[in-house]
Amino acid sequence: MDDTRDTRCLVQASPEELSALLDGDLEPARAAELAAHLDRCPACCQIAAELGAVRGGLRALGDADRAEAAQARDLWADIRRERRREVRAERGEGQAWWRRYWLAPAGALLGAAAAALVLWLVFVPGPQTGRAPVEALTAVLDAERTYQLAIAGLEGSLAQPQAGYDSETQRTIRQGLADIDTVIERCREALRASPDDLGAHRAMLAAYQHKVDFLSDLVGEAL
Amino acid sequence: MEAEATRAGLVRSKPVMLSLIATNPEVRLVVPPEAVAAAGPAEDRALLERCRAGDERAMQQLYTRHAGRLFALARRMTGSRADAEDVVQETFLRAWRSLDGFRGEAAVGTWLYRIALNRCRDAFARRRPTVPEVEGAAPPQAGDAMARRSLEAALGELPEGYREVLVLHDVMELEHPEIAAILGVEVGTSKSQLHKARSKMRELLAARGQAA
Repeated sequence: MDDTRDTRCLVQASPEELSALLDGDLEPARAAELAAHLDRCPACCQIAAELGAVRGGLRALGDADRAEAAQARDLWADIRRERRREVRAERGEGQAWWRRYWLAPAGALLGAAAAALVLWLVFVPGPQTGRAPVEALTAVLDAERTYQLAIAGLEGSLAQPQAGYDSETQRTIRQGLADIDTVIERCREALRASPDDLGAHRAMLAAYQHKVDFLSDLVGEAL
Repeated sequence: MEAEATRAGLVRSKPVMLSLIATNPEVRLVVPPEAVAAAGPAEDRALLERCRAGDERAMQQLYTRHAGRLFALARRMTGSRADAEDVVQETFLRAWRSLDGFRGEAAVGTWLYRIALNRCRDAFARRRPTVPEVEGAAPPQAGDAMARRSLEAALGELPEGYREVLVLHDVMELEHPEIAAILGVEVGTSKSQLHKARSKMRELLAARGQAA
Protein backbone atom coordinates (compact mmCIF):
# COMPACT_ATOMS: atom_id res chain seq x y z
CA MET A 1 0.00 0.00 0.00
CA ASP A 2 2.96 2.35 -0.45
CA ASP A 3 1.95 5.62 -2.02
CA THR A 4 3.94 5.30 -5.24
CA ARG A 5 1.95 7.96 -7.05
CA ASP A 6 4.32 10.76 -6.03
CA THR A 7 7.35 8.97 -7.46
CA ARG A 8 5.92 7.29 -10.50
CA CYS A 9 2.88 9.31 -11.55
CA LEU A 10 3.09 12.87 -12.74
CA VAL A 11 -0.66 13.41 -13.18
CA GLN A 12 -2.11 15.68 -10.50
CA ALA A 13 -4.46 13.08 -9.07
CA SER A 14 -4.54 13.15 -5.31
CA PRO A 15 -5.98 10.26 -3.31
CA GLU A 16 -8.79 12.66 -2.36
CA GLU A 17 -9.61 13.10 -6.03
CA LEU A 18 -9.51 9.38 -6.63
CA SER A 19 -11.85 8.91 -3.71
CA ALA A 20 -14.20 11.47 -5.20
CA LEU A 21 -13.98 9.62 -8.51
CA LEU A 22 -15.10 6.42 -6.77
CA ASP A 23 -18.18 8.16 -5.40
CA GLY A 24 -19.00 10.00 -8.62
CA ASP A 25 -18.38 13.35 -6.98
CA LEU A 26 -16.13 14.81 -9.70
CA GLU A 27 -17.14 17.04 -12.56
CA PRO A 28 -17.73 14.89 -15.68
CA ALA A 29 -14.77 16.29 -17.58
CA ARG A 30 -12.33 15.70 -14.73
CA ALA A 31 -13.82 12.27 -14.06
CA ALA A 32 -13.29 11.27 -17.70
CA GLU A 33 -9.72 12.56 -17.61
CA LEU A 34 -8.91 10.61 -14.45
CA ALA A 35 -10.65 7.46 -15.69
CA ALA A 36 -8.53 7.54 -18.83
CA HIS A 37 -5.44 8.08 -16.70
CA LEU A 38 -6.25 5.07 -14.49
CA ASP A 39 -6.29 2.88 -17.59
CA ARG A 40 -2.59 3.48 -18.08
CA CYS A 41 -1.27 4.21 -14.56
CA PRO A 42 -0.89 1.15 -12.31
CA ALA A 43 0.21 3.30 -9.37
CA CYS A 44 -2.94 5.44 -9.32
CA CYS A 45 -4.99 2.35 -10.09
CA GLN A 46 -3.56 0.74 -6.95
CA ILE A 47 -4.42 3.77 -4.84
CA ALA A 48 -7.95 3.82 -6.20
CA ALA A 49 -8.30 0.13 -5.45
CA GLU A 50 -7.11 0.67 -1.87
CA LEU A 51 -9.54 3.53 -1.38
CA GLY A 52 -12.29 1.31 -2.73
CA ALA A 53 -11.25 -1.38 -0.28
CA VAL A 54 -11.48 1.12 2.57
CA ARG A 55 -14.97 2.08 1.47
CA GLY A 56 -16.00 -1.55 1.08
CA GLY A 57 -14.56 -2.52 4.45
CA LEU A 58 -16.42 0.29 6.19
CA ARG A 59 -19.67 -0.70 4.53
CA ALA A 60 -19.14 -4.24 5.79
CA LEU A 61 -18.67 -2.80 9.28
CA GLY A 62 -21.96 -0.99 8.80
CA ASP A 63 -23.70 -4.24 7.88
CA ALA A 64 -22.35 -5.84 11.07
CA ASP A 65 -23.44 -2.81 13.14
CA ARG A 66 -26.94 -2.97 11.73
CA ALA A 67 -27.16 -6.68 12.50
CA GLU A 68 -26.02 -5.97 16.06
CA ALA A 69 -28.49 -3.10 16.38
CA ALA A 70 -31.34 -5.43 15.48
CA GLN A 71 -30.41 -7.52 18.53
CA ALA A 72 -29.82 -4.57 20.83
CA ARG A 73 -31.45 -4.35 24.23
CA ASP A 74 -34.72 -2.48 24.31
CA LEU A 75 -34.17 0.69 26.31
CA TRP A 76 -37.65 2.17 26.07
CA ALA A 77 -38.78 1.13 29.56
CA ASP A 78 -35.65 2.72 31.08
CA ILE A 79 -36.12 5.90 29.06
CA ARG A 80 -39.78 6.24 30.01
CA ARG A 81 -39.11 5.58 33.68
CA GLU A 82 -36.34 8.16 33.76
CA ARG A 83 -38.46 10.74 31.95
CA ARG A 84 -41.37 10.20 34.33
CA ARG A 85 -39.01 10.76 37.24
CA GLU A 86 -37.72 13.94 35.64
CA VAL A 87 -41.23 15.27 35.03
CA ARG A 88 -42.24 14.59 38.61
CA ALA A 89 -39.09 16.33 39.83
CA GLU A 90 -39.70 19.31 37.50
CA ARG A 91 -43.18 19.65 38.93
CA GLY A 92 -41.73 19.43 42.42
CA GLU A 93 -44.03 16.52 43.12
CA GLY A 94 -41.46 14.14 44.50
CA GLN A 95 -43.28 10.96 45.34
CA ALA A 96 -46.97 11.87 45.24
CA TRP A 97 -48.92 10.91 48.34
CA TRP A 98 -51.45 8.95 46.33
CA ARG A 99 -48.66 7.06 44.61
CA ARG A 100 -47.16 6.12 47.94
CA TYR A 101 -50.65 5.19 49.12
CA TRP A 102 -51.10 3.00 46.07
CA LEU A 103 -47.64 1.46 46.11
CA ALA A 104 -47.65 0.49 49.79
CA PRO A 105 -50.38 -2.15 49.44
CA ALA A 106 -48.97 -3.21 46.08
CA GLY A 107 -45.63 -3.92 47.72
CA ALA A 108 -47.32 -5.79 50.55
CA LEU A 109 -49.27 -7.89 48.08
CA LEU A 110 -46.12 -8.74 46.19
CA GLY A 111 -44.56 -9.81 49.46
CA ALA A 112 -47.52 -12.06 50.19
CA ALA A 113 -47.28 -13.57 46.72
CA ALA A 114 -43.58 -14.24 47.12
CA ALA A 115 -44.21 -15.84 50.53
CA ALA A 116 -46.85 -18.10 49.01
CA LEU A 117 -44.37 -19.19 46.39
CA VAL A 118 -41.90 -20.16 49.11
CA LEU A 119 -44.63 -22.18 50.85
CA TRP A 120 -45.34 -23.85 47.58
CA LEU A 121 -41.73 -24.87 47.18
CA VAL A 122 -41.84 -26.47 50.61
CA PHE A 123 -44.93 -28.49 49.74
CA VAL A 124 -43.86 -29.72 46.33
CA PRO A 125 -44.00 -33.54 46.49
CA GLY A 126 -40.96 -35.64 45.93
CA PRO A 127 -38.23 -37.60 47.65
CA GLN A 128 -36.79 -34.44 49.25
CA THR A 129 -40.01 -33.58 51.10
CA GLY A 130 -41.17 -37.12 51.72
CA ARG A 131 -44.76 -36.01 51.24
CA ALA A 132 -47.34 -38.19 49.58
CA PRO A 133 -48.50 -36.71 46.27
CA VAL A 134 -52.13 -36.13 47.28
CA GLU A 135 -51.24 -34.60 50.63
CA ALA A 136 -48.69 -32.38 48.95
CA LEU A 137 -51.12 -31.35 46.23
CA THR A 138 -53.64 -30.21 48.83
CA ALA A 139 -50.97 -28.11 50.49
CA VAL A 140 -49.89 -26.70 47.16
CA LEU A 141 -53.43 -25.74 46.25
CA ASP A 142 -53.80 -24.00 49.62
CA ALA A 143 -50.63 -22.04 48.91
CA GLU A 144 -51.94 -21.25 45.46
CA ARG A 145 -55.17 -19.84 46.88
CA THR A 146 -53.16 -17.49 49.11
CA TYR A 147 -51.10 -16.53 46.11
CA GLN A 148 -54.14 -15.95 43.95
CA LEU A 149 -55.66 -13.61 46.54
CA ALA A 150 -52.48 -11.56 46.63
CA ILE A 151 -52.20 -11.47 42.86
CA ALA A 152 -55.84 -10.48 42.41
CA GLY A 153 -55.34 -7.55 44.74
CA LEU A 154 -52.25 -6.45 42.89
CA GLU A 155 -53.90 -6.74 39.50
CA GLY A 156 -56.76 -4.64 40.82
CA SER A 157 -54.30 -1.98 41.93
CA LEU A 158 -52.62 -1.89 38.54
CA ALA A 159 -55.97 -1.44 36.82
CA GLN A 160 -56.65 1.71 38.82
CA PRO A 161 -56.25 5.06 37.04
CA GLN A 162 -53.62 5.95 39.63
CA ALA A 163 -51.33 3.34 38.13
CA GLY A 164 -50.79 5.75 35.28
CA TYR A 165 -51.16 3.33 32.36
CA ASP A 166 -53.14 4.34 29.32
CA SER A 167 -55.83 2.03 27.99
CA GLU A 168 -53.62 0.56 25.28
CA THR A 169 -50.89 -0.35 27.76
CA GLN A 170 -53.47 -1.80 30.13
CA ARG A 171 -54.79 -3.94 27.28
CA THR A 172 -51.25 -5.18 26.63
CA ILE A 173 -50.76 -5.91 30.33
CA ARG A 174 -54.03 -7.83 30.50
CA GLN A 175 -53.06 -9.86 27.45
CA GLY A 176 -49.68 -10.69 28.99
CA LEU A 177 -51.30 -11.81 32.24
CA ALA A 178 -53.86 -13.86 30.32
CA ASP A 179 -51.07 -15.63 28.42
CA ILE A 180 -49.38 -16.57 31.69
CA ASP A 181 -52.70 -17.70 33.16
CA THR A 182 -53.23 -19.98 30.17
CA VAL A 183 -50.00 -21.81 30.94
CA ILE A 184 -50.89 -21.96 34.64
CA GLU A 185 -54.27 -23.48 33.81
CA ARG A 186 -52.66 -26.15 31.64
CA CYS A 187 -50.25 -27.00 34.45
CA ARG A 188 -53.19 -27.24 36.84
CA GLU A 189 -54.98 -29.64 34.50
CA ALA A 190 -51.83 -31.75 34.28
CA LEU A 191 -51.60 -31.83 38.07
CA ARG A 192 -55.21 -32.91 38.44
CA ALA A 193 -54.49 -35.82 36.12
CA SER A 194 -51.15 -36.63 37.70
CA PRO A 195 -50.62 -35.02 41.13
CA ASP A 196 -47.08 -36.33 41.49
CA ASP A 197 -45.91 -34.89 38.19
CA LEU A 198 -42.90 -32.98 39.47
CA GLY A 199 -42.34 -31.37 36.06
CA ALA A 200 -45.84 -29.92 36.13
CA HIS A 201 -45.26 -28.56 39.64
CA ARG A 202 -42.06 -26.89 38.56
CA ALA A 203 -43.63 -25.46 35.42
CA MET A 204 -46.55 -24.07 37.39
CA LEU A 205 -44.23 -22.58 39.96
CA ALA A 206 -42.16 -21.04 37.19
CA ALA A 207 -45.27 -19.57 35.60
CA TYR A 208 -46.34 -18.02 38.89
CA GLN A 209 -42.81 -16.75 39.46
CA HIS A 210 -42.94 -15.15 36.03
CA LYS A 211 -46.20 -13.51 36.95
CA VAL A 212 -44.72 -12.13 40.17
CA ASP A 213 -41.72 -10.83 38.22
CA PHE A 214 -43.99 -9.24 35.68
CA LEU A 215 -46.14 -7.53 38.28
CA SER A 216 -43.04 -6.47 40.22
CA ASP A 217 -41.77 -4.79 37.12
CA LEU A 218 -45.03 -2.98 36.60
CA VAL A 219 -44.91 -1.70 40.17
CA GLY A 220 -41.29 -0.69 39.55
CA GLU A 221 -42.41 1.16 36.41
CA ALA A 222 -44.84 3.18 38.45
CA LEU A 223 -42.24 4.18 41.00
CA MET B 1 -44.89 -29.70 30.77
CA GLU B 2 -41.66 -28.12 31.89
CA ALA B 3 -40.38 -28.08 28.34
CA GLU B 4 -43.63 -26.50 27.20
CA ALA B 5 -43.35 -23.78 29.77
CA THR B 6 -39.75 -23.21 28.74
CA ARG B 7 -40.80 -22.85 25.13
CA ALA B 8 -43.49 -20.43 26.26
CA GLY B 9 -40.72 -18.34 27.79
CA LEU B 10 -41.99 -18.74 31.30
CA VAL B 11 -39.13 -20.59 32.94
CA ARG B 12 -37.20 -17.41 33.36
CA SER B 13 -36.77 -15.41 36.46
CA LYS B 14 -35.81 -12.31 34.53
CA PRO B 15 -38.48 -9.76 33.83
CA VAL B 16 -40.87 -9.03 32.14
CA MET B 17 -42.37 -5.83 30.79
CA LEU B 18 -39.93 -5.84 27.94
CA SER B 19 -40.68 -9.42 27.01
CA LEU B 20 -44.35 -8.62 27.09
CA ILE B 21 -43.96 -5.61 24.89
CA ALA B 22 -41.98 -7.80 22.54
CA THR B 23 -45.05 -9.95 22.02
CA ASN B 24 -47.05 -6.96 20.92
CA PRO B 25 -46.59 -6.67 17.15
CA GLU B 26 -47.24 -2.95 17.32
CA VAL B 27 -44.26 -2.36 19.56
CA ARG B 28 -41.05 -3.80 18.11
CA LEU B 29 -38.05 -3.61 20.41
CA VAL B 30 -35.75 -2.17 17.82
CA VAL B 31 -36.83 -1.76 14.25
CA PRO B 32 -34.20 -2.96 11.77
CA PRO B 33 -32.43 0.08 10.35
CA GLU B 34 -33.36 -0.85 6.78
CA ALA B 35 -37.00 -0.61 7.77
CA VAL B 36 -36.40 2.76 9.35
CA ALA B 37 -34.84 4.02 6.16
CA ALA B 38 -38.31 3.93 4.69
CA ALA B 39 -39.74 5.90 7.60
CA GLY B 40 -41.20 9.10 6.26
CA PRO B 41 -40.12 12.44 7.65
CA ALA B 42 -43.74 13.58 7.55
CA GLU B 43 -44.76 10.70 9.77
CA ASP B 44 -41.90 11.51 12.15
CA ARG B 45 -43.07 15.11 12.27
CA ALA B 46 -46.62 14.01 13.07
CA LEU B 47 -45.31 11.80 15.85
CA LEU B 48 -43.27 14.68 17.23
CA GLU B 49 -46.36 16.88 17.33
CA ARG B 50 -48.16 14.18 19.26
CA CYS B 51 -45.18 13.99 21.64
CA ARG B 52 -45.49 17.72 22.21
CA ALA B 53 -49.13 17.21 23.09
CA GLY B 54 -48.01 14.79 25.80
CA ASP B 55 -48.58 11.51 23.94
CA GLU B 56 -46.02 9.16 25.45
CA ARG B 57 -46.88 6.45 22.97
CA ALA B 58 -45.83 8.69 20.09
CA MET B 59 -42.41 9.05 21.69
CA GLN B 60 -42.24 5.30 21.98
CA GLN B 61 -42.97 5.05 18.26
CA LEU B 62 -40.19 7.51 17.49
CA TYR B 63 -37.90 5.40 19.63
CA THR B 64 -38.96 2.25 17.82
CA ARG B 65 -38.34 3.84 14.43
CA HIS B 66 -34.94 5.36 15.15
CA ALA B 67 -33.28 3.50 18.01
CA GLY B 68 -31.70 0.90 15.73
CA ARG B 69 -29.94 3.42 13.51
CA LEU B 70 -28.84 5.51 16.46
CA PHE B 71 -27.48 2.43 18.21
CA ALA B 72 -25.52 1.47 15.09
CA LEU B 73 -24.07 4.98 14.87
CA ALA B 74 -23.20 5.08 18.56
CA ARG B 75 -21.76 1.59 18.50
CA ARG B 76 -19.38 2.57 15.73
CA MET B 77 -18.52 5.98 17.13
CA THR B 78 -17.89 4.86 20.70
CA GLY B 79 -16.59 1.36 20.00
CA SER B 80 -18.59 -0.06 22.87
CA ARG B 81 -22.02 -1.64 23.13
CA ALA B 82 -22.53 -0.34 26.67
CA ASP B 83 -21.59 3.21 25.67
CA ALA B 84 -23.87 2.91 22.63
CA GLU B 85 -26.80 1.99 24.88
CA ASP B 86 -26.03 4.99 27.09
CA VAL B 87 -25.91 7.24 24.04
CA VAL B 88 -29.26 6.00 22.73
CA GLN B 89 -30.93 6.40 26.12
CA GLU B 90 -29.51 9.88 26.65
CA THR B 91 -30.41 10.89 23.10
CA PHE B 92 -34.08 10.13 23.56
CA LEU B 93 -34.16 11.69 27.00
CA ARG B 94 -32.61 14.88 25.64
CA ALA B 95 -34.98 14.89 22.70
CA TRP B 96 -37.92 14.40 25.04
CA ARG B 97 -36.77 17.26 27.27
CA SER B 98 -36.31 19.61 24.35
CA LEU B 99 -39.38 18.88 22.23
CA ASP B 100 -40.32 22.54 22.30
CA GLY B 101 -36.85 23.49 21.07
CA PHE B 102 -37.24 21.52 17.84
CA ARG B 103 -37.95 24.17 15.23
CA GLY B 104 -38.54 21.84 12.32
CA GLU B 105 -35.68 23.17 10.20
CA ALA B 106 -34.34 19.63 9.84
CA ALA B 107 -35.99 16.24 9.72
CA VAL B 108 -36.70 14.64 13.07
CA GLY B 109 -34.27 11.84 12.23
CA THR B 110 -31.55 14.38 11.47
CA TRP B 111 -32.25 16.13 14.75
CA LEU B 112 -31.93 12.84 16.63
CA TYR B 113 -28.70 12.01 14.81
CA ARG B 114 -27.30 15.39 15.80
CA ILE B 115 -28.12 14.84 19.46
CA ALA B 116 -26.68 11.33 19.33
CA LEU B 117 -23.49 12.51 17.69
CA ASN B 118 -22.95 15.07 20.45
CA ARG B 119 -23.42 12.34 23.03
CA CYS B 120 -20.98 10.13 21.11
CA ARG B 121 -18.36 12.87 21.24
CA ASP B 122 -18.71 13.00 25.02
CA ALA B 123 -18.58 9.23 25.33
CA PHE B 124 -15.58 8.94 23.02
CA ALA B 125 -13.73 11.63 24.93
CA ARG B 126 -14.34 9.73 28.16
CA ARG B 127 -13.33 6.39 26.77
CA ARG B 128 -10.99 6.40 23.82
CA PRO B 129 -10.42 2.77 22.88
CA THR B 130 -7.34 1.88 20.90
CA VAL B 131 -9.01 -1.26 19.60
CA PRO B 132 -12.77 -1.18 20.00
CA GLU B 133 -14.67 -4.21 21.18
CA VAL B 134 -15.52 -6.71 18.51
CA GLU B 135 -18.94 -7.98 19.43
CA GLY B 136 -21.78 -9.57 17.59
CA ALA B 137 -21.42 -12.10 14.83
CA ALA B 138 -18.12 -13.95 14.71
CA PRO B 139 -16.06 -13.10 11.65
CA PRO B 140 -16.01 -15.98 9.19
CA GLN B 141 -12.24 -15.96 8.61
CA ALA B 142 -9.18 -14.89 10.55
CA GLY B 143 -8.17 -12.58 7.70
CA ASP B 144 -11.53 -10.85 7.79
CA ALA B 145 -11.26 -10.44 11.53
CA MET B 146 -7.82 -8.87 11.20
CA ALA B 147 -9.04 -6.51 8.51
CA ARG B 148 -12.00 -5.55 10.66
CA ARG B 149 -9.87 -4.87 13.71
CA SER B 150 -7.45 -2.82 11.63
CA LEU B 151 -10.29 -0.78 10.21
CA GLU B 152 -11.75 -0.21 13.66
CA ALA B 153 -8.40 0.76 15.09
CA ALA B 154 -7.70 3.14 12.21
CA LEU B 155 -11.14 4.69 12.62
CA GLY B 156 -10.33 5.29 16.26
CA GLU B 157 -7.14 7.12 15.29
CA LEU B 158 -8.82 9.51 12.88
CA PRO B 159 -9.44 13.10 13.89
CA GLU B 160 -12.98 13.49 15.18
CA GLY B 161 -14.32 15.37 12.17
CA TYR B 162 -12.95 12.82 9.74
CA ARG B 163 -14.28 9.92 11.76
CA GLU B 164 -17.75 11.40 11.95
CA VAL B 165 -18.15 12.03 8.25
CA LEU B 166 -16.64 8.66 7.35
CA VAL B 167 -18.92 6.78 9.72
CA LEU B 168 -22.00 8.70 8.60
CA HIS B 169 -21.25 8.14 4.89
CA ASP B 170 -19.39 4.86 4.49
CA VAL B 171 -20.64 2.99 7.56
CA MET B 172 -24.15 4.40 8.03
CA GLU B 173 -24.53 4.98 4.29
CA LEU B 174 -26.20 8.37 4.66
CA GLU B 175 -26.28 10.81 1.74
CA HIS B 176 -24.28 14.02 1.83
CA PRO B 177 -27.28 16.38 2.21
CA GLU B 178 -28.32 14.59 5.42
CA ILE B 179 -24.73 14.41 6.66
CA ALA B 180 -24.33 18.11 6.00
CA ALA B 181 -27.52 18.81 7.94
CA ILE B 182 -26.38 16.65 10.87
CA LEU B 183 -22.93 18.23 11.02
CA GLY B 184 -24.14 21.75 10.25
CA VAL B 185 -21.88 22.19 7.22
CA GLU B 186 -22.32 22.67 3.48
CA VAL B 187 -22.77 19.63 1.25
CA GLY B 188 -19.48 20.41 -0.50
CA THR B 189 -17.69 20.47 2.83
CA SER B 190 -19.16 17.10 3.72
CA LYS B 191 -17.87 15.65 0.44
CA SER B 192 -14.38 17.10 0.72
CA GLN B 193 -14.10 16.00 4.35
CA LEU B 194 -15.15 12.50 3.37
CA HIS B 195 -12.53 12.14 0.69
CA LYS B 196 -9.81 13.50 2.97
CA ALA B 197 -10.95 11.12 5.69
CA ARG B 198 -10.95 8.12 3.37
CA SER B 199 -7.50 9.06 2.15
CA LYS B 200 -6.30 9.38 5.75
CA MET B 201 -7.76 5.96 6.53
CA ARG B 202 -5.78 4.51 3.66
CA GLU B 203 -2.62 6.07 5.08
CA LEU B 204 -3.31 4.75 8.56
CA LEU B 205 -3.92 1.27 7.23
CA ALA B 206 -0.74 1.50 5.19
CA ALA B 207 1.15 2.44 8.33
CA ARG B 208 -0.30 -0.66 9.97
CA GLY B 209 0.71 -2.71 6.96
CA GLN B 210 -2.85 -3.85 6.60
CA ALA B 211 -4.95 -3.40 3.51
CA ALA B 212 -8.68 -3.10 4.10
